[in-house]
Amino acid sequence: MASSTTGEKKILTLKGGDNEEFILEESLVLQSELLKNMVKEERVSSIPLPSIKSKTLVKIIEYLKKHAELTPSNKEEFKNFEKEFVNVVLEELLDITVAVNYLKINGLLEFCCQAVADRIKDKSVEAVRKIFRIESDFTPEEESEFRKETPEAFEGDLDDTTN
Amino acid sequence: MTILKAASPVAGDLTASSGGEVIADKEDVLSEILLRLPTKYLLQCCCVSKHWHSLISAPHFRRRHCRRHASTSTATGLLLFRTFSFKHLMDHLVYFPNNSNDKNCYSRTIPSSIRRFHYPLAFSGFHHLHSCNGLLCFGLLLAPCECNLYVYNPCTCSYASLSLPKKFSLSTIKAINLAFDPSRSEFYRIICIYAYNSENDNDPFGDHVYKILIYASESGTWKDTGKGFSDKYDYLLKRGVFSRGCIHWVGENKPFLAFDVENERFRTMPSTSVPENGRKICYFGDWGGRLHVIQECDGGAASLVDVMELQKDYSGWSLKYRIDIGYLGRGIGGNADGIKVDVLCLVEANGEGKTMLIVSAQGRILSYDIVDRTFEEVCNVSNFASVKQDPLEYKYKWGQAFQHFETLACV
Repeated sequence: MASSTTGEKKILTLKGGDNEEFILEESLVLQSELLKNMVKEERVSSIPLPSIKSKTLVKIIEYLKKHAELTPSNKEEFKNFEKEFVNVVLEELLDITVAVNYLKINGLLEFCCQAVADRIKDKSVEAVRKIFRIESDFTPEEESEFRKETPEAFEGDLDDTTN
Repeated sequence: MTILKAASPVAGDLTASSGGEVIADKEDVLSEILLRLPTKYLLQCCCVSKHWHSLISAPHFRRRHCRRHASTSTATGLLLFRTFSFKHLMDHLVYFPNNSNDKNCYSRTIPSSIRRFHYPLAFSGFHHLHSCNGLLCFGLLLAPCECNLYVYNPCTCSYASLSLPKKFSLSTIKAINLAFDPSRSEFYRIICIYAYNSENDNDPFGDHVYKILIYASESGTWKDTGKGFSDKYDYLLKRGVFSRGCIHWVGENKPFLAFDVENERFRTMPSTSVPENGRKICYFGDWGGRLHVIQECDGGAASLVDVMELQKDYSGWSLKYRIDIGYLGRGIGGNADGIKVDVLCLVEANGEGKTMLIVSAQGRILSYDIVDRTFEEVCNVSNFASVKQDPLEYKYKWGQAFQHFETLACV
């Protein structure tokens, strides 16, 4: 694929949250709607992304590279890669999801959302609150009503861990 | 927790907030995640916070969720009703075995969420009752307002009330059938059948004709289709089955009937064979878009029944299994005489390729594996305290069992 491009490949620098720099081919970042617009309209060669941790950015760049290499013949391999890709602690997965949403990488966003859903669908209400750092804003009466109506959401064998 | 620490932000990181926190504030991503959760779990998530509650309760979100899960959703259990004096009382929700997301409560009495509607508004019982893909439709004689028809989603406890057109009442309506297929449309239709006495001698059906009246939820209006059929075949009109855009009715005599709800016209439908004394239908229902009839075997021993499936192209019925229901009755009863067994539902367990019959036998609900010829008890209804105090017998037949779907469908 790359052989068909003429002249020099354009190079772009992404700067992660902790100022770590990532140098990559411009064609790769075009998968991100956000970066694509920045590159096309503003002709920048370096893009700061302070809200994205370097660790998260490393993962996303890894995905962009793999996705760019996707052909009909290595579909299976890519699927396995995707599976491995989301096989990280939940907190990291959430960081990735947020970043992907920010960068507007649509296909990956859907995949991440599904992965998050799969990971939280056995968790208790308390665990979900912890994961998303939510404080219940229901009154104690409402809270106890919920516990009475759907005890299985609070107890039972629902997974109570947050990772 | 050690893993969590490893994943927490490193020193000097500019981002103080965690991904989870950001998502909780970002409605679009949060919706996308919630959209992918199974219905039952999603309803539990309502208790997380007011924000989540309002997000999950929003009609727009519910419609999207319903549409998204429509093609993959299968019934998770059966709602059992008891019928006496033409009234239906909701008794139990029995979950199918092998229902992976519901291992520890696969049979129980009606959950309190459903009972909320059941009592006290409906304590006198439902007049007319039908169900389709997770929605129930029924009439209430003692309704608090002029509305006498209800469409109810037992999962979300939401209902819509409506009234029949002026010249009709619950007692003049012969049957009510609900047509709802979320994979096609978020709207439903109610098909009412009423008896029409023609004074015109030229009427091709003679003087006994049933006519079809349709309510469309998108417009909130009734329409008399003018389409009718003769009643001399004794169709089981109360138990029509909606599948692929058509309501199907079976009866003891030829021929079966199919009505295309969208286009308001009858379409041809093949029938099963009719023995001399008429068919003895033991069950008529659908599973995953396939229609099944179970009827007493023509010419075989009295205890044999045939399980037939309608071919996709409507070219005919094919015999899938021949079952000795007497053998099943003897097995369950534990003696040579056996006990009477009623088929409530035919269930095809996904993945394993198993076909099961959910049967009722003297207050016990069992699942019967057609191929392995093994059965297991799903629940013993007569064990429930509420049942013990009740003088009425708890016997169920297929006409009183409706498939239960977990859905956020709006009514």
